Parts: sequence; structure tokens; C-alpha cells
Amino acid sequence: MPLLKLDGVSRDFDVSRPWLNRVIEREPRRILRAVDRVSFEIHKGETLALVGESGCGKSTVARLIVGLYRPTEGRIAYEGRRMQMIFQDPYASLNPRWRVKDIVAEPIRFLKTSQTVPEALLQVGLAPDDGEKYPHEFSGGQRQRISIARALAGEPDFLVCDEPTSALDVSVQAQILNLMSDLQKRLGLTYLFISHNLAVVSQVADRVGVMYFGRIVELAPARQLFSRPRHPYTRMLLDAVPDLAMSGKPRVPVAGEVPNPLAPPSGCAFNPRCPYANERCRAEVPALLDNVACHAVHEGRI
Amino acid sequence: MTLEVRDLTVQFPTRRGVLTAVDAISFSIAPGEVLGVVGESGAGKSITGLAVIRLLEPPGRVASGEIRLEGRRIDNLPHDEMRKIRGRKIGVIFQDPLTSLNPLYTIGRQLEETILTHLPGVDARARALGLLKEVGIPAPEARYNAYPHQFSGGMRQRVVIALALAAEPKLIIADEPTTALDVSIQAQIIALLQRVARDHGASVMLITHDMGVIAETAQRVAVMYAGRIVEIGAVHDVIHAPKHPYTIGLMGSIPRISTERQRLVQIEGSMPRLNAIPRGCPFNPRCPRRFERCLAERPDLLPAATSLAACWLHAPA
Amino acid sequence: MVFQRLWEHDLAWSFRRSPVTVVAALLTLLCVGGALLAPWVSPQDPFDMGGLNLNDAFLPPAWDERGMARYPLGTDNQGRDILSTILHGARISLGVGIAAVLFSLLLGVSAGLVSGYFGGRVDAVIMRIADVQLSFPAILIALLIDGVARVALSGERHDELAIPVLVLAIGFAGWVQYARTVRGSTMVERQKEYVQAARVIGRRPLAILLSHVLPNVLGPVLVIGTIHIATAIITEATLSFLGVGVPATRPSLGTLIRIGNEFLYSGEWWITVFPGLALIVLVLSVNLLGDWLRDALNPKLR
Repeated sequence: MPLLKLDGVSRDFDVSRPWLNRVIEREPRRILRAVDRVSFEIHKGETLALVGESGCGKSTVARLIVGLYRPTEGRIAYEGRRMQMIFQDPYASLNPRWRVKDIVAEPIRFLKTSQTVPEALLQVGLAPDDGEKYPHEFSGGQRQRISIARALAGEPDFLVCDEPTSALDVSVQAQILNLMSDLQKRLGLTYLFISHNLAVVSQVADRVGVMYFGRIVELAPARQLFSRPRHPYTRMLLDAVPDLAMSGKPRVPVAGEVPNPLAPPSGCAFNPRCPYANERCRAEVPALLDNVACHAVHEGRI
Repeated sequence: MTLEVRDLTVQFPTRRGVLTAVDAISFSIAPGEVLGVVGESGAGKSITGLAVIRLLEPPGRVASGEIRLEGRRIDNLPHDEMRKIRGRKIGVIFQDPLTSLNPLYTIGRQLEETILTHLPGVDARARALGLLKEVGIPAPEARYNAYPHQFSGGMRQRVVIALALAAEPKLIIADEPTTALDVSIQAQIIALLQRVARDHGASVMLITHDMGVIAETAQRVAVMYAGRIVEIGAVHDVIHAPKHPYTIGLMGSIPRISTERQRLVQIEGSMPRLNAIPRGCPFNPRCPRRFERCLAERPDLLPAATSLAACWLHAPA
Repeated sequence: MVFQRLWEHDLAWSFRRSPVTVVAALLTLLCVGGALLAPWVSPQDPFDMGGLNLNDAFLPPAWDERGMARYPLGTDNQGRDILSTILHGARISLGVGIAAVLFSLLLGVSAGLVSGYFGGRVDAVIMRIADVQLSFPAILIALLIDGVARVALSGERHDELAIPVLVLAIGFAGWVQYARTVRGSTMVERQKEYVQAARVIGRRPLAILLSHVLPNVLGPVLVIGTIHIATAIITEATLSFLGVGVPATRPSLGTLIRIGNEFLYSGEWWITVFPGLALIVLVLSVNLLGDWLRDALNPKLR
């Protein structure tokens, strides 16, 4: 029984121009499909990562799961007791007018959990005295710890982490990632980890889902994805990561940019940039079969 | 040397005392060379870039030191002289392409304006079109009269690079040029920067927190911490054989793509605030290898194999 | 200890820095203190008909040879001591001003919070009402409300309720500026992650608005409110001058100016000039205080 199951979940946003403008200029409504029929499962104790570039829909999926948005279609089934979320921006995640102890106490009070504020703070490497201070007295990394403390105070089984370290310096990121890994082992947590940074993901994830244009294009165990990526977009993404090892391998930056989300390409969304696209790719959206959503792979062409 | 900086100190007088954001740093960039300046937030790398082009926000000011461009001192020039140098000899690329371009003017107009300001009499339009083609804007004639908001982020950054190149500068200062871009676009821009530096013989000061970008683009790199340069050397040496404990910790904490999960090295604590910089070596509270001298004396850049590291571990015996 | 911390605080520092502000503050303190303590401080109770001496009517200020020391600023047509009438009048003016602003604030901040947080139709309706109201001058709106009250209530009843009706009238005239500012700030805060975190915890919208959003949008409101007090006092003075403000039995500074106006051209200038000067000083010092507050609270100037 998976802890979380998404079945054909989509989410549309109405980005039409104001009514008056539409009437005068005779424009139709504009609907942006941010998430398009996404399905996957997460099992207890694992870390599933969703990667992709900006606008691919990964953050929207996170918010759908946690309940901040309602799905336009599809079902989300959660078998656990509680879930919590950690956000990207350490400066906007904490109410600047509240003391830290009140911020961490909010879920305890409201959800009636059995944690105490000093326990929650110690768990993330802060001192109980820090509860008296305000968020602006802390650095970015420390604020992220406070966010984690707040999330854990709600005694969740499942934690949705939306780019939790993207706004942090590299050395602070290491501290937070190590902390999150320790907490996962100690408390038996399940994570959904959203990120655009493939290197970070390779260090934290058990399974990885690659998203492009609101769809999952590849979903595989991390080891497999990073050693033998199959979808052309995954390959391009891995290729584009700057090579710190300086192995000197020649890189071919992929041409083109992400198309306008209001005017998606027909068929497979990646076809304008894909070197293997054929007629079928331009006509038919590939289904996620055998971990990959790509006609060329299914047909054995690559 | 295209750029020579010697003992540059930048300070911010505040109500509670003087804050030193950059403390007596020295470095140089040769013609056609890309020097990476890497560091975490608060290290002073952006401030260094701003100090070189004299765009520091008051009350920040250059308190001491010398900056020489092609041998000529520019840190003490009057404002109108400096304005001529900026743009003509030095081109700048900032992080956010959205705010670097004026949304009210077409990109063609902005390019022409910059070209004519510094190279009057030249065929501005032809040169602008040439630049757009060079930075990889497809069908430049068609897009010449487009406005910045009609371009995507990556394309806008290319236009910003074209603007920086407009007057054939000798030095380009790029402050986090790829941070706001997606990974796939980032790769394209990095390649473009490299090519442009090579083709135009311009020196580039590449400021970023992303070591990966530096590995791909730069020949030498300076690592900054708490307003000082703690290590400087060839990129390959600094990345694969770092000499300063901070650089060692930094390299260890950078996640790399691998199929094996490893625990990342973490440096305890965080960079000191400007009003609380420790005595002696600023890294000493966090350094696993500190000893008494580190707490008392601030180390200068000392030779360490082929690099320079500001660390007493490398003091001559 | 506490006083020392207050003294060191940013606000206090910027306060001490500006001599204009210190003078304004002292003046305001004088005016407000005098006004509030009028019944105890004023030399005479000008509304006690028994204590008036008609023979002392039309006495010029004390420094004139015909004046008396007992009446430092002279007397009016009924022998009332001008200084006392000013103190009592200022009390009424200030009281009405502050009460009206509090009412305005309550109405405007609530409307702004609801409008900014919920958006959609609610926002559209509230903002259209605000837009319509803005096309009328505040005085006209106050006159309208007051006029309706006069018709609705009998003469005597109206006199009794005159001051509350006035407070309501001026209050209604001024809510829009608060609503707009708060709406803008609310729309910004609503997007921030700390609000989303509260939603994930499961807090209800009302609780989020009051405990999370409100403290963060109040800053500009304070500044607007202080300056609004000055405007409210002037509005009340105008209405009283026109004869539709406070009843004649409890004159405010505006009423005093009106009464004194009749005697201006027959040479008894002090009856109208001194209340006028008092009004100017009161309003000016409140305004200056508001200016300083705005600058002091502006983080960019600190």
C-alpha cells in the first residue's frame, strides 16, 4: 500500500485577461495546464525527487499534494496521518512578526501534537533559547532549520520539500541536507523532494521523476537514472550540468528554449527540441511506460 | 595586465561603526583571461566587482587601494572620466536580465545608444545586428525592434551580453550571469561567454557562487571569504587540490552527480557577519586545523604549491 | 533598563536626531495634554452659564490695556474666557478626530484584509464601492451622512447623538485609503510562504488574516492614521464652521471660529483668531509627527 498515490492528476490555471478586455478584443479564455495527467506513487520511508526546470510543474504538484491547490482532474490518495511542507525561501517562510517559539508552537497547538518547542528546536540543531528571538536575527540556513522544526512539530509522516536548499549557500546546503537525511533515518519520514539541481537530487533521492511541461517524462530509481538516462530530455539535462570534475568531455548544449506554456506543442512537448522526433512524436503524447514517456525509446530507436 | 587590483578595501560607515566589506585584496587579470571570483553570500565578491566599476551604493566607498585598468589608475578618476571608461573599456553583465534592460526601449535602440555613446560615427545599426548575431539571437533583423519583455530569460541575457560587448571593452565584469537561468540555458550562456572572451580578447571577471560554472569557464579562480581572498590559483588546482581549509570544506560540500549516495562534508557554523569578523584569520572559528597563530595574526596570501593560500599552514618553515 | 532600550531603539534615535520633530512632539503633547485635561486645567468653565459675567464680554487679550489678567486671551460676546473655550473646544476636536479615525481604521483595514486575501468577486465589489466613494469629496460624504441623520432623528435626539453621528460620518468618509493600502500589502503577504505554511497546518482563513497577515500590514496604516487625525480634525472644523457639525452647546474649535467670525469686522478679532491659531498649531504638530513616523518606519532610510 503506497503512502501517497497520484492518479491522472491535472491542474489548470485560468490566466485569461480581465473580462472587459476579453469582450472588447474578442479573445478566448486562456487556460494554462500546469500539471498534465501526472501519476506516481510514493512508498513509506523513501525519498522521491521531482526534478525539472522552472515552469515544469513540480512546485504545483507539491502544492496539489499538500492541499494548497485542488486538482482540476484526477485523484490524490494519502494513507498516512499527517503531512507537512518546507518551502524554498527562508526569508518568506517565517512570519517576521512572530517569535520563533510561536512559529514552532503553532502546529503543536493547532494539531495537538505531543512535541514541545525546546525539543523541536534541539532536534534541528538550534538552542531552546533561540525561541525568544525573531526570524530576522537568524541566517538563511538557521531559518531553514526553524522551518524544518515547525514542520516536524506537526509530527508528520510525510514531508514535502519544495527546493529547501536552493536559496542557501553551498556549505549551508550541505548542513541542511545532512540534517534532513539524519532526521529521515531517526523519525522514519518519507520525503518528496522538489529541486532543479540534479547534483543535489543524486545525493538525496531513492527514485527520481523528471518533469517537463507539466508531464512526467521519466521516473526511475536514482541509480538507474543517473547512470543510464533514457529520455532525451533527461540526457540533455544531465549533460547541461556544469562539469566540476573537469573531465574535459565535450558538451553539446541543446538548442532551443522551453515553449510558451499557453501554446504547448502538439504531441510530445519535447518534440521541437528533440533530435529523435518523428511524425508520431508530433502527433501523439507518449504514455509513461516502463519508466519513460518517449516514443523513440518505446520503439527501440534509441 | 588588463586589470590590476592592489590592497583594495571597501568600507561602509554605519551608525554602529565602520563595516569592512572587502579587506585589502589584490589580484590581477591578464588579457583574454577569465578569472572566477567565487564565494558564498556576504563574502564580498559582488562588492569587489562594483568597486572596480565605481558603482558602489553610498555610504559604501573605496577606503584604500589601487585599481589599474591597462596600467592607468581608475579608482581616483573624476566621475565624468569614469563614465567614459565604463561602457567603453569595461562592460558589465548583471544577474537579472529583466532589470538590466530598459523595458521602455527596443533592444535595437538600447544597443545603438550604447554604441554611439562610446563609438560615435560608427554604423550603429550594422554593428548592433552583428553583435546580436554573435550572441546567438536567431533572426536578429526581425527581433531588432522588439522589447525586452518579448524575449525569454535566456535570450534577454544574450542581449545583455551583446550590450556589454557593444563598445569592444577590454574587461567584462559578469556578476552571477547564469544564476537566474535554467540549467539548460545556463550551459548555452557559459559557452557563449567563453567564446566571446576568446574572440574579442577581453578579460572577464566572473563573479559567482557556482563552482561548476567557474570550472567550465575560467582559467584561474579566487576564493573569497569574509571580504578576503583566501585562495587563488589555476582552476584545476583549486578544485582538485585545494590548499586552504575553507576551500577544502567548500569543495567537499558541493554535491556531484553520482550513483553513490555520500554524506556531504559540512563546515560547522556560518560566515561571520561584517560587524563580527574574528581576529587573526577570519575562518579560524570554523577551521578544523587551526592553531594559536591563526587566532592572533591575519595571514597574507602565501605560496602553496602552484596556488596562493592565505593560511598559516603554508607558512615557510 | 527598559527605558534605556527604548532610548537606544532606532525610532528614538531618529526622533532625537530631528529638532523639528522634537518641537512638534512637545507642541503636540502640550495641545493634547491641555485638551484632555481641559476640565481641570482651564481657568473657567465656559459652559456653566451661572459662572459667566456678561459685564466681562468683549474684553480684549490681557496684554491690551483694556484687558484683564483673568482672561489671558480675552472674552467673547457672552463673557466666556477664550483660553478656556479653546481648551474645551480642542478637546472636542481631538476627541472627534481620534474617534473618527479609529472607526475609519476599523472599517478600512477589515475591508482591505478581506479584499486582498479572498480576491475574486469580493475584491471586485469592495473596490468598486471604494472607487465610487472616491469620486466624492470627503466633506460631501460627511454632509450626506449627517443630513440623513438629521432627517431620521428628531431634533432633540439628533443633538444628543450629534457627536457619534459626526464620528460615523467622518469615519465613513475616510475608510478607503486604509482599505487600499491594506489590500495591496495583503495581496503581497498572501503569496508568502509563511501564509502557505499556516494553511498547510490547517489554520482557517480568519485566523490567518488576524494572526499572521494583520501584524505585517499595519505599518503604513499607523502613518496614514496619524495624518488622518489631522485631516479629521479639519473636516470636523469645517463641518462645525458650516453649522452642521457639533451642536452649539458643545462647541469645537470650528464652531468657535464660526462664532467669532461674526465679530471679526467689528474689531473683536481675538474671538476668532485665537481658536484659528489653536487649530493650526494642533493640526500642524500632528502632521509633523506623522511625517516623522513615516520616515522613521521606512526601512530604506534607516
